[in-house]
Amino acid sequence: MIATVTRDDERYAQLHRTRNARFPKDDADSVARIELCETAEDVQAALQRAVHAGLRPTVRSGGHCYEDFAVNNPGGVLIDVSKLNTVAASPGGGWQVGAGAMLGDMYKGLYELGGVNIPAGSCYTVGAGGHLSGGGYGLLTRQQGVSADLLSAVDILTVRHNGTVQLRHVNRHTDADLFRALRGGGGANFGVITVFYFDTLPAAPKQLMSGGLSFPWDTMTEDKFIEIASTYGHYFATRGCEPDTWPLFALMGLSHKTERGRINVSATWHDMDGSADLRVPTEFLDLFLKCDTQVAELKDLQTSAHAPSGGRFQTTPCVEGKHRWNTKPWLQATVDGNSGGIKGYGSARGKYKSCYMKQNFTTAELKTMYAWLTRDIPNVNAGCVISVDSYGGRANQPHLAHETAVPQRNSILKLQYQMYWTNPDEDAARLKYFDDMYTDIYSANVADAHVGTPFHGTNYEGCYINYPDADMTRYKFWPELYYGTEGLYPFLQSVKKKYDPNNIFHYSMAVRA
Amino acid sequence: MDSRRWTRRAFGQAALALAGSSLAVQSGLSTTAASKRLAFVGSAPPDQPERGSIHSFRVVGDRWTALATLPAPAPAHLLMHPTLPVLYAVHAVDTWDHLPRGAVSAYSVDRQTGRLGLLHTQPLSLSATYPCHAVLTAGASHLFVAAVGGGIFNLLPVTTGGALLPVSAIRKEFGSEENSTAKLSTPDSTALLPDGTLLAADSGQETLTSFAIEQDALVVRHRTRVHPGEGPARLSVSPDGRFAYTFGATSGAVQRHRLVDGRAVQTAALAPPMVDVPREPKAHVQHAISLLLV
Ligand SMILES: Cc1cc2nc3c(=O)[nH]c(=O)nc-3n(C[C@H](O)[C@H](O)[C@H](O)COP(=O)(O)OP(=O)(O)OC[C@H]3O[C@@H](n4cnc5c(N)ncnc54)[C@H](O)[C@@H]3O)c2cc1C
Repeated sequence: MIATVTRDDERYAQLHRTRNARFPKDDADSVARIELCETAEDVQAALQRAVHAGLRPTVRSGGHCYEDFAVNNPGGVLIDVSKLNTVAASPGGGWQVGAGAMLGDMYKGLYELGGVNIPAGSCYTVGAGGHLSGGGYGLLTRQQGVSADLLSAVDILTVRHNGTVQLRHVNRHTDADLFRALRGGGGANFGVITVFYFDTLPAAPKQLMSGGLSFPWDTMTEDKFIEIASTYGHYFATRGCEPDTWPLFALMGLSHKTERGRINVSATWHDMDGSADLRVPTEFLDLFLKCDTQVAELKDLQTSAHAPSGGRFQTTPCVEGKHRWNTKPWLQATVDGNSGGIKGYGSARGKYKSCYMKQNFTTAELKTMYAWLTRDIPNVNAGCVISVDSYGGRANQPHLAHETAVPQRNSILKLQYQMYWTNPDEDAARLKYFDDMYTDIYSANVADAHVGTPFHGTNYEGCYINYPDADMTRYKFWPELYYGTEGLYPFLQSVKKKYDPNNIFHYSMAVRA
Repeated sequence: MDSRRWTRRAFGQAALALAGSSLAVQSGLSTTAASKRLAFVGSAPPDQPERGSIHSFRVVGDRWTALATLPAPAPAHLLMHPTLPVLYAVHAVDTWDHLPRGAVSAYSVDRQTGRLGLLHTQPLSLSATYPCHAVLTAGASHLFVAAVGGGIFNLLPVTTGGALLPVSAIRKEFGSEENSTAKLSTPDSTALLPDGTLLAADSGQETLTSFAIEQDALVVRHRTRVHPGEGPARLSVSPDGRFAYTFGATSGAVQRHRLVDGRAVQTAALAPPMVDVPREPKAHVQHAISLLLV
């Protein structure tokens, strides 16, 4: 049954919003109604009703979108599929995940069903709908690939030329072009997804061991900053490319300088067979001992989207070959903490940017980062971090660039720039600082035509569509930043023309046909 | 500034040649030219529509003297406020402020010098690309804009001072499918009937649709399928509001539709095919040429 929430309903105040308190910007941008759907038939009916009424539909699963794609829909209809959250064995074999499932429930469900895993994101409350259709990566991506790589089929509702809603089951054989586009091309470009199918999935690890090091800002110098970051980058450009290291996930949080603030490096080892062999992560952490470290005991295991900022720190010096490891059964470690904000209706304001890196940092790049991370924003308490996730391994299977809509298959690191605040009065200053910082950092190693962006080239491989940044639309080449230069975007445009000819599904960074 | 002298006839020919089919331009000339003194021409290079301009002319008898030129992206349609010295231009572009949409602008008009001053620009809704026609509603309370690119209508409230407020209502259309021919919604023209009803022609949907405005929202009153198999383009309405005229979108044949309560009830073929009408929505607007005599 569809529950329709309109402006006169007291639930509207919360339900028309999203996790990022910046959106919708104001009342004029807001939807006229929210359709809370329980079944695929409900979604079909709600979508049909919107199209026939001449209203624009937008879609929400977990509500974790970094931009305003779903909730900036003046007078339109927000179709909420979060109740389509069944995680089950598929009748034909394999597994199926409802588009509304939260990642935490997905991990738990798949583990209970068959001890299997999708190498997806680390935040419990992110929704499968946006996450899997935008690629989806996480702690196990180096070992098991990008989530979209494993996808076998999708149920999706599209809208025909004449406005009729059509349910399609798409896979490698049926509507193969649409299927490819849905494997990482970004949410809500072509229709409303109701179910994701996976024929085979890899086994979940046995346990997870995590350890870390930290470097106080109080004693930080530019040289030390460069040494830490380039040690990290060098590892993933060299040793980290070898398959025995792929169960290692690492995160480096280059936070803005604050009193008692620290730069953290964490190492998470996925023990795939129960052998508890910690040689690889130990070797990795040992590299930083030369950088005058302190040991960090990290509480949560997360990708950069939720970088650990604190943790408890030991005062004793680190000893080579000996690090404190926090060991937990894999499922517990993965779903504990329920991170990400309940139901996605948040009070924090956020802005995000991203970069895929093919090589270690250059010194010039790190000098620029250091300068910005030590610069004050007048009257504002800087809350930004450049989170540097380990990447590569099975994500870098070249043939998958042509089978999926994730073109980045040569990267060793994935960066996420994050800024958080609560006071709307700080919006302008923060957004400007953040944009200027990013533009400056990507003005060094990039050809003139693409200055200010991590455009595809020797050093970079563009940006991640699940970390969308509407600032990038100021560049005519923004689609190439996200979709590469090898013809993926024209392909997505042709799919858009074919399956969403009326451009029913549109937002600021949607595929423009 | 171009000091060439234009004759009404020469300009009319140029406009027809460039714009392809231009029923609206012709009727504009014949109904308003005699008594008024200023003319505005919007034009843009087809390959760089964003570098368009609006030219002002003084019209004395058959003589057109160029007065001023103001840059204006793809000014595909111009219209004047009925009582205030405010000109509105519809910018037929597919991107405005980096987003996929067109825009409309309001300009002050200096009746003495013909100079225009940009008052402000309002972006249209997302997907309202290539807007190419607009009308002011009764009492000039709203501007009703048709966007051929996205198949969308936008409604913008207009203040008593003639200023355009942000879009208050959006209507997203869809196309049609028949006998394996699928078409996209392409609303290319609109009209205001004397009773306040808004009328729009959509060749992709093959309809004439009448709308009413209720509490700043657009409400469909009637929808009639016309020119089956090709759809109506370039709507024009008789001054008494009893008849609407359209081109068949692909044949160029002119048809007359009798209107009752804003609904097209009876259609008669008036003239055999006359012009080639562009099939691509973009082609309707790529020359972005427009004419207004006031
Ligand atoms: C706290 C947090 C942690 C994160 N961690 C990670 C991470 O570890 N790894 C990672 O890769 N990313 C991560 N992300 C980014 C995340 O993958 C994207 O924000 C994702 O798009 C969110 O999906 P959602 O369904 O929760 O959001 P929504 O806001 O519901 O949707 C996001 C986009 O997808 C569209 N969409 C949603 N549902 C559907 C559907 N059923 N059919 C079609 N389109 C749909 C929406 O319209 C919107 O455009 C994180 C984000 C946050 C806020």
